[in-house]
Amino acid sequence: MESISLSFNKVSFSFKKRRILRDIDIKLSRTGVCVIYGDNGAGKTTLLRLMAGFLKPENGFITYCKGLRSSFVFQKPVLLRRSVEDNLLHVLMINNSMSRFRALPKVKDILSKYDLSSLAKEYAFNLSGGQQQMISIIRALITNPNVIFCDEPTSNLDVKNKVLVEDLLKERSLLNKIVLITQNENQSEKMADEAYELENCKLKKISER
Amino acid sequence: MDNVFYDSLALLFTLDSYLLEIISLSLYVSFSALIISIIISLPIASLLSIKKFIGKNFITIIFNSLMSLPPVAVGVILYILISYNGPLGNLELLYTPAAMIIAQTILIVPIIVSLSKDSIDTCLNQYQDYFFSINASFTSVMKTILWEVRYKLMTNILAGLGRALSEVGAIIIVGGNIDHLTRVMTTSIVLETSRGNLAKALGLGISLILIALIINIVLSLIKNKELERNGEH
Repeated sequence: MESISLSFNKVSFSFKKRRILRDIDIKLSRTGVCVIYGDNGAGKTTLLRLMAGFLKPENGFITYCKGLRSSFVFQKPVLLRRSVEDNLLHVLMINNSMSRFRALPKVKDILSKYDLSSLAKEYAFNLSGGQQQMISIIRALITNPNVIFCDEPTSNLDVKNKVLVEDLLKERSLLNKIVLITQNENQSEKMADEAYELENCKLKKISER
Repeated sequence: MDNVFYDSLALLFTLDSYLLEIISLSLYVSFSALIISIIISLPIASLLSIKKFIGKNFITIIFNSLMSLPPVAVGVILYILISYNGPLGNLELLYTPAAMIIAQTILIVPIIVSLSKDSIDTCLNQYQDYFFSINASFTSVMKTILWEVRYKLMTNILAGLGRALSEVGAIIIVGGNIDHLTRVMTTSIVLETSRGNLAKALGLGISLILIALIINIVLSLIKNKELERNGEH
């Protein structure tokens, strides 16, 4: 159990009487990228939301390792109407109960690490889609989570930003577990340490490195 | 009729002490009621929007219905409560600015609660998953959302201020329109019109419109400037 961050045991889920997931079993290790691949409407986002605890399973059990901290990267960046710096401070002050004084150096460090210090005072809504998604990902990283759930984080990005995000996630997967939802088969092959396909409400392991 | 208009403008430009006293009391009463209403309404609106509890929909419907509370009915009920023989008579509030502030607060609270709840609901839909993902408490969600919807709240608060400044039915009953004590612009307009003193009534009416316009313009300018800075324009 030591090397497992979360596990699903015969988890099923329905929405408005429509079965979306049936008897899902999966165990996530502590590091690496786990890609969940599937067509539109296959239930990938529902599965991710169940993993993140946004939804409760209809049947079955989800077990989390003790003290698991997770964060979520949404398909469309969800940023607050304030500066980039304040967006990052917000998450640290709430999720990590840090004071503004203690959180500020951490925000400056991470922005500098990813060469984004020049955006610190910019208003989040003034940024390009790619920059907004980068800030969303940094916001997910800054809280020091064990698992990062990513719901198609590159689907709205151009090639350059897509590569940037993929590299950033891959680098982080050496320390943390990344669960990545994608419809893109190439991305799945490039990123996955283990890959699953969601089809007909069932999860099927398709590869492991 | 032309004379009435010119006389009223003359009264406005000379700003005599009578007019200034009435205007300042009007602003004191309406702004006090507005500030109290904001303090009461925003937590209620947040609670109704963010928390799930039994009876939430019923309470929301009640607040929505109370938006169209008839001021005279509020005035009469409050009059009965605070009149010298009423249950709150010992507070000696009748015919005081405090009674007028209470009356206006009762009328404004449902407006700010209902409009703000709608604004918060819309914003909450956008950020619900984010708040969940960062384990935000009710207080954190409330503080964040109220800041996020601050420009919409300004509009809602302006609607409340509009109601307070234009209100006459309730404050004339509980305030009594007493000279130098509880006479405000709206009650004074009613009195001067009934006396046939149309120039004074029109002067007061024009100043009321000007005050409402100036407040609206200033707040709209602040709002637009901030929205532009945030890249939302």
